[in-house]
Amino acid sequence: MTGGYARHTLSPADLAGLGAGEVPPALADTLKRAIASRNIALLESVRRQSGSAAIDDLWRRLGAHPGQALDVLISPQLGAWADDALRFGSGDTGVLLAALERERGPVALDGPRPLRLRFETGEPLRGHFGLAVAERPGPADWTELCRQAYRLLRARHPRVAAAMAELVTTVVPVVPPAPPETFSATSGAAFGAVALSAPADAAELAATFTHELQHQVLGAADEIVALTVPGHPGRFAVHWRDGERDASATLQGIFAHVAVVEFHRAEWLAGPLEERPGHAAAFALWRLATGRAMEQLGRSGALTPAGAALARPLEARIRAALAEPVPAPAARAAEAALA
Amino acid sequence: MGESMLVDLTHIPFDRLATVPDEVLRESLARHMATDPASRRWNKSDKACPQPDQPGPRDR
Repeated sequence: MTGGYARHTLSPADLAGLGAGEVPPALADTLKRAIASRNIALLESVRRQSGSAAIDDLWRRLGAHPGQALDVLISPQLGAWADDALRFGSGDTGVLLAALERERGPVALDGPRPLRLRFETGEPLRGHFGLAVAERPGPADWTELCRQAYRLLRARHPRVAAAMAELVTTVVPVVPPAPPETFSATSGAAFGAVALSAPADAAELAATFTHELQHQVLGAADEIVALTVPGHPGRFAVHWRDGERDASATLQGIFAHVAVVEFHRAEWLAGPLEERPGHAAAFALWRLATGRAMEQLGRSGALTPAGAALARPLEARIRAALAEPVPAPAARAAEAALA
Repeated sequence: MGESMLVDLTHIPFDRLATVPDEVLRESLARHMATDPASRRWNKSDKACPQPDQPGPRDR
């Protein structure tokens, strides 16, 4: 407690669980509540600077409907709007209120634990991501692609599917900046939203959701506690980027790619037969690339004690992946790619 | 573990938010606002996965 106010915390067990790739409902709730507090602080700061009566009114409405408050407070529209408004003074409350109004009626995708997604092409997320919004494919095609991807995740990646149902709420369809390469992005301010270009198929979309979900999780954890030493001078060469990355970005990349490694392992071993060689190659490549990045980061001194607590099980997952025999062509291709 | 500066504002009634001191809001947002927004954006990898047996999964 400080001045009578409780603070958000992550216990060593929470951090170890995150590093192990586990986001049980209680931990997901911890992350969501931290994002809610951050967004309250952002929005209340904007209110104090601008004197906005609309924000006063929003607080009154949320107070009158407390059962809906958490969903509104963690919405990517609210987070993105408030973050941009506080940083750049660009807040038109009409945009925020219109976006929150549109949030009603998400599409529920199937399952005993349905994934509820919204497809959002309006402001403030359009401007926040700074990407051209794609009008095609339309919502029906996106819904079907997401339904298939979610089924794949539920079938062979249940931990990812469960965490996704808790934490991913919104898809922002965008035009890929460098076609024909597909594109995806996540913003820490817009918690729950993933900007996506149209994937080739549902399997690619499932891999993309797996990757972007990790950024949501680690971004939320990083709001609570520093995982890397602020201002650490270390820069790290990682295979997934052309330039060097700082410690925080490197940890984000490692965290995401460990999940991608496990995605490819499961698809290699149990996915459609014709796609298994490709997944074996991806598994071999990304486990090696992730292992090398982890090795650099681990010995750099850039991890805080909290970051180290998260990294230990992460390293164990990488070691387990690296110990697994893979087809020789896949191993050779991975070594060649990283030579 | 580690020092968290983010105050739990979710238990404060909405009609009492105005009474939260500025300093509490500033502290809560200190880590967030100290980070360049670009550092809180995570984009797709620059590099694709080599595919020894086409077609395979597009990697990221």
